[in-house]
Amino acid sequence: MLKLESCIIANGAFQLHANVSMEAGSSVAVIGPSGAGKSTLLEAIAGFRQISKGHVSWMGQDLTELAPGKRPIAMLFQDGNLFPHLTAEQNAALGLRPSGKLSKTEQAQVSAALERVGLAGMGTRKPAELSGGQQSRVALARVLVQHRDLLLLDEPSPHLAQP
Amino acid sequence: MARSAQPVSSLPGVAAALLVAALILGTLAAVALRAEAGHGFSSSDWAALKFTLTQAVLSAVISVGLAVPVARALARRRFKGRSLLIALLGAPFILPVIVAILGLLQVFGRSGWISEVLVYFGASPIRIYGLHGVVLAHVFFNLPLATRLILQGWQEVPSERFRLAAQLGCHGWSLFRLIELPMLKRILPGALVVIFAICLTSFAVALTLGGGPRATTIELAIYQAFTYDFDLGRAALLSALQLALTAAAAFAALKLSRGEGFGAGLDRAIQRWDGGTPILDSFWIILAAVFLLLPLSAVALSGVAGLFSLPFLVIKSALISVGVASASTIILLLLALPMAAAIAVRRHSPVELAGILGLAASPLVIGTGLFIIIRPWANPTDLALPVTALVNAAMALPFALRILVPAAKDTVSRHGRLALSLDMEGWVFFTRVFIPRMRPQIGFAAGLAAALSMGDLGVIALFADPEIATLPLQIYRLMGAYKMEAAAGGALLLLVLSMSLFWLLDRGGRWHAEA
Repeated sequence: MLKLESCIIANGAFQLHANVSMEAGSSVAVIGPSGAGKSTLLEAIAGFRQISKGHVSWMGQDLTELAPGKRPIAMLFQDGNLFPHLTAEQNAALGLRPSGKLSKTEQAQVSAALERVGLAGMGTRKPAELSGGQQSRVALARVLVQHRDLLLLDEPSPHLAQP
Repeated sequence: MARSAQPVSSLPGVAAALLVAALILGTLAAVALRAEAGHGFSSSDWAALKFTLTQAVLSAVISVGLAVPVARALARRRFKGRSLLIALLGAPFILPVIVAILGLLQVFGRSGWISEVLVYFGASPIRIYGLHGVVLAHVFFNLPLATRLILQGWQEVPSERFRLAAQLGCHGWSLFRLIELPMLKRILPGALVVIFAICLTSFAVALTLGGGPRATTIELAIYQAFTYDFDLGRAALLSALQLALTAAAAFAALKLSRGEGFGAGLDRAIQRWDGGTPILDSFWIILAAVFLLLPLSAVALSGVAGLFSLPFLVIKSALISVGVASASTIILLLLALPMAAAIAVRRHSPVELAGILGLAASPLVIGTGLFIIIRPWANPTDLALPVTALVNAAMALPFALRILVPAAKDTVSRHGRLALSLDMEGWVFFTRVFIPRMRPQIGFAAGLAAALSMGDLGVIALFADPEIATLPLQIYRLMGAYKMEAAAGGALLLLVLSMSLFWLLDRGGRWHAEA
């Protein structure tokens, strides 16, 4: 269960009050007009935005003070989901190890993930050599190998056509 | 902690900044403590101060005065080779001073090309040594810089304003008063004070073209107090005087100038409708191009003959120079990269201040300070090469940071969040994201540092003994011994080496770099 208990999140003059809990395994859509604070909410859960009051917890574990990379969260942003100087494979590999150095089995996991998103054989391409939709799928492959409990998607798929 | 979540720590950068501050402030303190104020300034010291100020003012005024028509011509004319010429205007920054001086001597010297023509017509040859020689060399180096600074001002005038002026039928003098004069009023003070500050610390030019009681800069007087009299107290006193001057000038330059963008976007010609006088513009462009290219061609022409019969001493000093330049470049990157990272993650940090500290001190002042510090522990001449590499790196640091910091900020803001979400922090972020993303800027900064160090004739003159020399110092010694052919060959070699190092590093950085 993901819980936000009487959280206050400040973004400049804008303040967001969140008091919500979501079941594990559920898919939750956050809908609202632009400027409503959808991204601010996701950023606070992922740890990019300071919570001025309250707590975020996952399955009883308090996340409030954890660094973004230490949370059980994988996140896809609106843009900038890939490093332009790394190949698709290297980008996906970062989901397993930040250093990018993989063992044989981990390497196989990455290849399998790329295959699953329909990018088999394109692992050596850099983002600039892929279409917008293919780039989004590389990021998706990375999320797959990350195996995090929570997946936050901040409008990540403007380019993604039906696979 | 989520609050200060940053992909890279600012600690190594703070440590590097402390090292730089310790080096510069420490040497300055050593100078100040050693200065024998009891001596007071002698009349020759006052003469040096007066000459330093006179030549710096003249150099700044003439460079900027000539740069205005050249920049104006470049701003409104489009011709083949225009962008090449503008790129060439950046070259003097990395051109070894000694090479330019040899070229200037061959064109303007007593037995140079112009003198030969004059003698042929029965006139007396030009005398280049003294104030006018020093100013000539400074104009050679700073006319291009002034042109670039002023050209930038012209390029920043919105093209709509020229369109509006054309519609109102403004041209000639009224256009100048309406649009260009206000721009010049904004740009010129900065350009003047930047060049004034550069010329204050002139050493190699004064060493070769000045000298004597009437043409000695403070920087040169420090050197002479060292080498001729070995009067450390006087050298330190002069250094303190020089420090006050350069610090004040650097402060004024930082206040008044807005920083050159290293030529980005300067190759765009503005569309204008007022026409102007094409002949006058061509005159200025050709004059500037000839003034810049003639001495360089002279070095190339006279150097070729000597290049294939270089004495072993020259070859050896060239190898030493490449070694010093490489070491200096590595030191620079070890300092500048962590500092750039620290500045990128924490704005307005004291790290930035440490980065520009080098602008306030001159190489010979730092050299003097290091000499004073090292002497109780070791023989300073044994450390001539490491000290040269270190001081060169410190002097290149402000320029390197100017190149690196914008790219570092961009890298952190564009990729920091993604890196954090993937738990890429510290060293991993630094090596996997920061450095690969900044490769073009790192290459440019490294190329600049290598070329500057390669061509430096400053601290090394203070520390070196007769056994050891970098290539610029060796060329200077050959000139002193009137071995002009070997000197010319060495100068061409130095020119080729400096430019190749710059080109290799700059190109290497941009090789296969994705935008």
